[in-house]
Amino acid sequence: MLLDLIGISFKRLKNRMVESVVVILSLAFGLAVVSTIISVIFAFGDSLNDVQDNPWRRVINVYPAEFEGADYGETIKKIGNKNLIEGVEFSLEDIERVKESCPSIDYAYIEDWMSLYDQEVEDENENWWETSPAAFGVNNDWFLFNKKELEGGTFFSTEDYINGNNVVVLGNNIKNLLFAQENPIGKDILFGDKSFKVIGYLKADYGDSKESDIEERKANKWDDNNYVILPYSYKTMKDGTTKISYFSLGIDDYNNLEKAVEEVKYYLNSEFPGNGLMIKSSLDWNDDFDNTSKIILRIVGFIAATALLIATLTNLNLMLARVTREKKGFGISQALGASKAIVFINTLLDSVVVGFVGAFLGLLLMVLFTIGADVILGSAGSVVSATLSVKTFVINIILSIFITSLFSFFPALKATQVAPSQVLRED
Amino acid sequence: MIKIKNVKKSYDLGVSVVNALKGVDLNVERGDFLTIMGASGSGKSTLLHILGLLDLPSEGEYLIDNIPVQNLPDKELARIRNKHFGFIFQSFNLFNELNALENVMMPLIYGKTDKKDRKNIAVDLLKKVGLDHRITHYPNMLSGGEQQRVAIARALANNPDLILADEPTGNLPSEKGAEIMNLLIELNKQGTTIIMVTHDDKLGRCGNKKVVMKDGVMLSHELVENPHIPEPTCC
Ligand SMILES: Nc1ncnc2c1ncn2[C@@H]1O[C@H](COP(=O)(O)OP(=O)(O)OP(=O)(O)O)[C@@H](O)[C@H]1O
Ligand SMILES: [Mg+2]
Repeated sequence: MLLDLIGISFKRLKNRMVESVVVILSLAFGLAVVSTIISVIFAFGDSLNDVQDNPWRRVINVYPAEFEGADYGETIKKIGNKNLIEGVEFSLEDIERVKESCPSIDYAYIEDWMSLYDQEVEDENENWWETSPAAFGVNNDWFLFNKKELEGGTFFSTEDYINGNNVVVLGNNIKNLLFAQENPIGKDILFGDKSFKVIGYLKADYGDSKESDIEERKANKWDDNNYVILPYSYKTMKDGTTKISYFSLGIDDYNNLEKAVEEVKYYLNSEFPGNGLMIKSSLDWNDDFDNTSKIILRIVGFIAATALLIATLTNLNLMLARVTREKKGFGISQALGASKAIVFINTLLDSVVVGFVGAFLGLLLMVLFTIGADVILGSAGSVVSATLSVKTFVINIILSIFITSLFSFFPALKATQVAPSQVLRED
Repeated sequence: MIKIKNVKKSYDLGVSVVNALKGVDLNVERGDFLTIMGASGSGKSTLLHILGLLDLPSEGEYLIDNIPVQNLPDKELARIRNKHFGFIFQSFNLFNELNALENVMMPLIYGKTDKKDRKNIAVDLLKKVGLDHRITHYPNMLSGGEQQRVAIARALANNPDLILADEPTGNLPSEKGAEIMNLLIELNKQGTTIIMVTHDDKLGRCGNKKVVMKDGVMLSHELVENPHIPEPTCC
C-alpha cells in the first residue's frame, strides 16, 4: 500500500506543479546554499586545524629577556659568547621538572644551535655562524615533539647525553649530500678538526610542501633536513656542566595552549622568582587570526541558518496552506476507508516526496555552488577553498531529512485533525 | 442490520451549543432503501454521517448487527467504512488528481486488495455504470452525471452492504439525476441496502422507507406503498 500511496503523492506533485516547484526550488536552493557554506566552513576549519597542528603553534619558548628583539644571528652569537646571558640558567633536571609540574605540558625540549668552530675562529670571523653547518644540540623530547623518525641507525643513548659524546644524527638531505647511497652509520665526519661519529639519520620530512618548495628547502642550510643533530650536552661550560638558557615546551593539543602557558608562567615565577624570563607562544601573535576567523565563521553560519530557516518556514507554510485548502480530500479518504493513520502517512508522503525531489536537486545545486564558491574564493586569493566531501553530502542529506520531517510532520498532524463529517457537509 | 437508539449530536461552539440531533431512533433492515427528507439544517447530513461512521454520536447507541460500534478504535471504524459502506455525495467528491480508474481503485488500495485484482474490479465497475470509455479521464474532463457515476462505481468498489448517499442528484440536471436514481434502484434490487438524503419529494418516495427530519428530531417514519421510479426521459 505504501508504494501505491507514494505513487499517488507523485501524481499530486505533478498536479500542483507551480506550488511543488516553489517548494522544491526553495528547499533545493536553501540546502545547496547551506551545504556549500558548510563545505566552506569545513575547509576553513581544516585549514585552521592545519595551522593549529603546526608544531610552531604548539610550542612555548622560554628564554632570557635579553634575547628579545635580537635577530637570529645575533641571538646565536650572544649564546655562543655567553656574554649576555644572565639570571637563570637551567639544568636538564630543571627542564624535566617544568614538564612534570605543568600537567598540560607534553614535551620539554632543547634545540640549541651549536657552533662547531673554536672560540678563536669565531672571534676572528664576523660571519662565522653563516659558514658553520646547522648543528643543533637536542634532547630526546626534541625528536618526539617534532615527530622525527629514523631511516637508519639509532637516536642518542643516555651515555651520549651524559658524556656529550661526539656523535651525530643527520637530517635526510645532508646525509644524502655527504654520503649519497653509502650507509653512513659508523662513519666519521669532520667539522674543522673535530670528528663526529654518525649513529643515525632521519627520514625525509617536508610536510606537504610542494615539489618546487622541496627543492628550495633542500638548498636551505637551516632546513630540518639539513640539520646535523648532536646531544645537547655537547656544549659544556668551562666548569664541565651543561647549562641551558633557552628551552621549549611542547603540547600535543593546540587547545591546551592557553592553559599550558598559565601553568608554565605560574611554575617558573614561583620556582625562579625574578628570573627575567620571556615565556612566548603562538598565543602572542595569532589572536588576530583567530578572531577574524571566528567572526567570519559566525557571519557565514548565520547566513546558513537563515537560509535554512527561510526554506523550512516557506515549505511549512505552503504545506500547511495545502492541508487547509485540500482538507476535503482527507474527509473523502476517510469515507473511502482510510484510517487517521493512513491520512497521516498519506499527507506525510505528499511532503516527503517533494522533500525528496528538492533534496536531490539540492545535491546537484550544491555541487555547482561549491565549484562556484571555490572559483570565487580562489580568485579572491583566499587560502580557504570550498571542497566537496563525503561529509558535506552526508550533511546535506541529513539536513534535508530533518527539514522535510519538520515541514511534513505538522501538516500531516493537522490533516488527521480534520473532521470528515465537517468537511463533507460543506456541499 | 443497523439500529440507532436515542442518538444525539451537539456541537459546542463555545458561545452556544448547536443540537443537530436531539434523540433519533432508527432501524434499517438489510435490503431497505431508506430516504431521509427534511428542510435545510434539519440534521439530515449529520444523521447520515453518524450512520456512516464518519462521525460519532454525542449520546445514544449505534449497533451494527447488534454490535455496538461507537467505542471501536479508529482503525476498525475505517475498516467497516471501507469494507461494508459506500458513500456518494452531492458534489461527487472525486480526487481531481486521479483519473476515473484510479478513483475507483482508491477504496481497494485502502482495503489492501491484491494489486492485480484492483484494476479488473475497477474496470468492471466502470463498465457497470456505463463508463468503460472514460476510464483514463480525469474528473475535470467528465460531465457531472459521469462524475457521479464514477463516484458510484467507487462506492461499490468493495462490494458494500450499505450505500450512504447525501443528495446524490442535487448537483445534476433532472434527466441525469433520474439516471443516477435508476442506478441506485437497480443496486437496491440486487440486494444493496441504501440510505439516501434528498430534498426532492418525488425522489423521497423512491425507497421503501422514508423518514422526515425537522430540527434534529424525526418528524415521521413511514413505509412507502408504491415506490416511485423516475423516468429518465420524462423531464
Ligand atoms: N460542525 C458543526 N458545528 C456547528 N454546527 C454544526 C456543525 N455541523 C452541523 N451543524 C449544524 O447542525 C445542523 C444540522 O446540519 P446538517 O448539515 O445535518 O443539516 P442538513 O439537514 O444536512 O441540511 P442541508 O439540507 O442544508 O444539507 C445545522 O443547523 C448545522 O448548522
Ligand atoms: Mg446536508
